[in-house]
Amino acid sequence: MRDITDLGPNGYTRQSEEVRTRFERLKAREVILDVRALTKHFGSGENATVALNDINFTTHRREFLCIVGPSGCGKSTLVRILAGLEEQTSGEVMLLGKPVVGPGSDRGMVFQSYTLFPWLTVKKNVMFGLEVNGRGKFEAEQQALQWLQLIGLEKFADAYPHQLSGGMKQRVAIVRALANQPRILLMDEPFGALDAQTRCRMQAHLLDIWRKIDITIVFITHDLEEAIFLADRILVLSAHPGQVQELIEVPVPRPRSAAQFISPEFLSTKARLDAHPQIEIRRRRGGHFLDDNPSHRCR
Amino acid sequence: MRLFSRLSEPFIEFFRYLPAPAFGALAVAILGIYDGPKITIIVIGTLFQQVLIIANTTRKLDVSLVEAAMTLGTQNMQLLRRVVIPGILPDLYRDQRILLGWAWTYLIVAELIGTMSGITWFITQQARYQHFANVYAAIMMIGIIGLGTDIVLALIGRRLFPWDRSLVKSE
Repeated sequence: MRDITDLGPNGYTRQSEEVRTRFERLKAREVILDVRALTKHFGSGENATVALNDINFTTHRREFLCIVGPSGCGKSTLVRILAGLEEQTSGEVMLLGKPVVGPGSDRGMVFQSYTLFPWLTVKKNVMFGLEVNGRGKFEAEQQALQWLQLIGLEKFADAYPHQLSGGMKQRVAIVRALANQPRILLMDEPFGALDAQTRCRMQAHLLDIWRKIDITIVFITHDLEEAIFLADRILVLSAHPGQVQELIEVPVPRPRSAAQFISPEFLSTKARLDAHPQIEIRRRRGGHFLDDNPSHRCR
Repeated sequence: MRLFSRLSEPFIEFFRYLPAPAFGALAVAILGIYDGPKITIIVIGTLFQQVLIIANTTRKLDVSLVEAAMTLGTQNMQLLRRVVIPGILPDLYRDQRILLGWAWTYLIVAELIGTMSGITWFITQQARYQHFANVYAAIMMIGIIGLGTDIVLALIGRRLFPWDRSLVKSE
């Protein structure tokens, strides 16, 4: 029996030996993304608002990092800067030691809105990145089909995006980004527009993909349970200005399953996140408040 | 791009507000009485609208598609060729259908000036002889031809852009 008392709501900062060594090993791995003193101001002069203030963190190879925070904490801005879609006011983003300038195929991105190209079939969407980066058509097609097999959508290769459900679209968007073999996958609330059931399945799907390939993931969400379920570490941001509050190491062991939503590790991490006053705990989804008992979440 | 639009749009707006038929007499004086002036009037009447409509349609393209393409490593001309153009093509096609209706109107107007044939010439001539039945028939024919081409173009559009849902829904 593990000692549960040191995982209780007040003792959550203490780590078991096993968890500590797990994270020491993680942090010993190669640094993929290094964010240093990143700030972002919108506007200039006296009207400037500080969206992000002195953000520092690193991600390591094959790490799953979640970023949580209340709306308006600049988490989307942060990930857009990482992707190169927006420019920071100061500070640096280093990918494998080289500064990030502008968007590029070394960083994949999945958006909350559906961004599959509606005029291309599913297969051609996945081929898109390979083709613009100079791969031959035949090679691109072979790889695209392999990616579609990985997510179980090979039957839909010739369908158009509007024929797919929301969850399927996001699965294709994930492999479209992965097909370029980026070093890091940035995900900006990718499951935010999905219903609760699909969301659960997508989370399991994503972990499955992540386990199979060598990819580091930075995942933005405002759903705390989603963050705990997915992440190795959770970066907690506060709003106005967006600042790092805490970097939480999630003790829940892998492989993860829905049953762990009521495990002591899960609940203590949840309690620790809930302790941040700014984070909204209850959210409306589909017109109903979610059942408070997290074990009912994923069936 | 923004600089270009700021430089060019005021001029195009200016020309857009000049009524095409006002160029009729000029066009006849310069180009004679055959097809030349008709084509000129139609071009003046639709080209400047065309430029602004295309600019507007392009601006309406979902920015996140462009951003997604950029994160996949797409740059400059490829972005235009692989994302912007295919992205706006169905809307552009719809714009052309609307502008074709305008072109019809300008054709009718053009034929009022300095022609010795054509359907409008026929209408004005028959009206002068008070053969109103013929006038109605001619107007009906214009309507039928216009409607017919639009239906055909809509069908072609559906074939060309099978992914475009708004096209399917609107018909």
